[in-house]
Amino acid sequence: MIKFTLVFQSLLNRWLSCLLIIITLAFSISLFFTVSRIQETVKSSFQNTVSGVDSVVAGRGGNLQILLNSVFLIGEPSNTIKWDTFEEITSNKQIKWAVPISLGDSHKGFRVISTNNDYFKEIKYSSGKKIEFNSGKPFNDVFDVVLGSLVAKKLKYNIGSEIIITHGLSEGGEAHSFHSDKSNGHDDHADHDDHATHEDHDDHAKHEDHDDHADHDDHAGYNHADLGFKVSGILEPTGTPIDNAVYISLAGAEAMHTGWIGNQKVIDVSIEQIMERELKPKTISAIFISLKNRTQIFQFQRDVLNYKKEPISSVMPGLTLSRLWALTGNVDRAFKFITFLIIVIALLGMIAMTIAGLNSRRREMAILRSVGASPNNIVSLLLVESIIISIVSCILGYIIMIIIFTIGKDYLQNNYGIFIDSFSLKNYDLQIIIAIICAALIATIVPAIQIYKNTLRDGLSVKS
Amino acid sequence: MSKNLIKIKNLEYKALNNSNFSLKIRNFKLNKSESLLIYGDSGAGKSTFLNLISGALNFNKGEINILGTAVSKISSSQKDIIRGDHFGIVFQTFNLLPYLTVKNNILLGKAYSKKKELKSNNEDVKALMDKLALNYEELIDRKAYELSIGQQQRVAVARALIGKPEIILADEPTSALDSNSQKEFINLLFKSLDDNEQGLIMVSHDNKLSKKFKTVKNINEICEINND
Repeated sequence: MIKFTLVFQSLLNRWLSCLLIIITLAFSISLFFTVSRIQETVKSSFQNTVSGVDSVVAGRGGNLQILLNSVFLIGEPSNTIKWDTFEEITSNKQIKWAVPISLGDSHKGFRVISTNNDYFKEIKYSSGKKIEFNSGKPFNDVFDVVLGSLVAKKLKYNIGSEIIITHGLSEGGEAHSFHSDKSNGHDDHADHDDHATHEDHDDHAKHEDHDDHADHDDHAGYNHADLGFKVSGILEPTGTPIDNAVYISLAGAEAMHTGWIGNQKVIDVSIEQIMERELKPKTISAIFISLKNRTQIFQFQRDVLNYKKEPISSVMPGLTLSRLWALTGNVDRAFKFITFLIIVIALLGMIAMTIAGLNSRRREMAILRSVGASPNNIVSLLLVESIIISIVSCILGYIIMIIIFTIGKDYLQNNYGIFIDSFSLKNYDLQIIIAIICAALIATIVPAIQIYKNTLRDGLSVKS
Repeated sequence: MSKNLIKIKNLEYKALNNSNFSLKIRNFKLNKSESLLIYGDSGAGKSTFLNLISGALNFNKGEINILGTAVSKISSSQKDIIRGDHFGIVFQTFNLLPYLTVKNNILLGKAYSKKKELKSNNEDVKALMDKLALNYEELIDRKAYELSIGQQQRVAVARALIGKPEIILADEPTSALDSNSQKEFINLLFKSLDDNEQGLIMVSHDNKLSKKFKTVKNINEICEINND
């Protein structure tokens, strides 16, 4: 007990230098924890976003760009593909299901995905979890909108809330909304459900005055009309980019682009006039495809590459993600290396503090020797001090990490879609803690050797 | 058990550092209940002599026998154990760890000993403090740096005496005290030694305190010092 008191009181006696070392170490450890946790969360978020999708078919482009844009809603929309192509590809007997999506619009900075109700039925996340509705239901009307959990939470929307979709991806984009010749607006058209799936709508010529979704990648943004979409459903949180999106039907997307050519509104069209039209999209951004037999994926890839009517690509999400990790792996390693260096610098500070304190502690060591402490006892006191400093630093570093994430959780979610949902210690963290304690012990070897030599040389002579 | 606490024969020591300091002791004995004052000039080898006896420094030739154990035949760690179990050591000044309380400083005397058994920490500490005229209630929880030099030296004696070690070594313990305090200190030291048959070796640069000691010797009578 007296030995424990000795170590504890000795550290307390040097509280200022110990505190500075602990704070330096704790901040560098918390930086390491924070960077690791963000990397891990981003990686698992990416890996969990799509499950069961064997291929993403989109207009010819880079695999990574297609994947980032269509699955993770990052970057510029890729080239579009014609609706006819969608119909032709989905007629392939190898296909189990196919979900079309169209991108290019936004709502208050959140991306809008135009799709059909199959999206909520077929797309899975986190190795097979189904997308669930927290409240409400899928699209039942052309102007129904389903919100990702984070969108609803951040914008405080409920079922029935009306929203305006903006053309383009910037928050300053123009709103897509409509005016009505009647007072009750689009509610009269509740039976116009998801025209994107109506394969008998083939009269594309009629829609020549509609804008092409290929033009949606306009960041300037433009206004469309007077009335909005109505929230019909809100999804459960998934911890993936699904939570960050606004979902409308393909028919809804087609309807809101009626009267527009590119970024220009050319005709003022009423809802009644829109509803008289066939709301079938001319183009879409991508198709999520699941095959009946996954072994046929390479055959399917070849079929897509050999498709003659327009240039399209097929991306295998798993393979492309692996390439992405290979690409970002060096950056990951660089980050970890930098944080590791910071820890090393903090440990060097600890060595410097210990060595600087050795001379002033020679008297202390002589007193301990006089009561029977061997040089090994004295070295072990030094090692125990290092262990205490490193454990306290790890605990403090962990607490700092929790504080950082508690304060920055919303910011990370809202701005980067990073969902930090758990602060519990993981195996990786424990390995880091053990490594830091070992490093602290190794770092103490130099002053320990010094003190060992001092105690042998000094004997019981008290040096001032 | 032999009445000899310490026996030294034909000992030779040469300093490990670059100095040419060397020391030889032909024959030396300390018996139970013997009190020996060794005086001599500064740098005459008094502290080295105590370091050799306590096993804190290793000698080159000869033999030191502590309570029947030949020191040359045991390892350094065994020497440390002997020092912890059988020795009580008081330094010149700065005897205490300033950040520990009086109680913990005294109990430090048995922290590395398996032999020094106490009936009860508090009772033994109190008894020693009473003998050394230290107010238990007032001082027990005080940090060492809060004490006067005289109080610190008495606490150091209490630490040396706790667990009743057979041999007490004191390296100029009175040098920082004025002459009245020196007498008082020596009186208290001898009072606490009286009934335990302990042997005391005290080194000092002068022999003014010699009246209380059974034996008084100049360091040169014990050691041949070469400091060229």
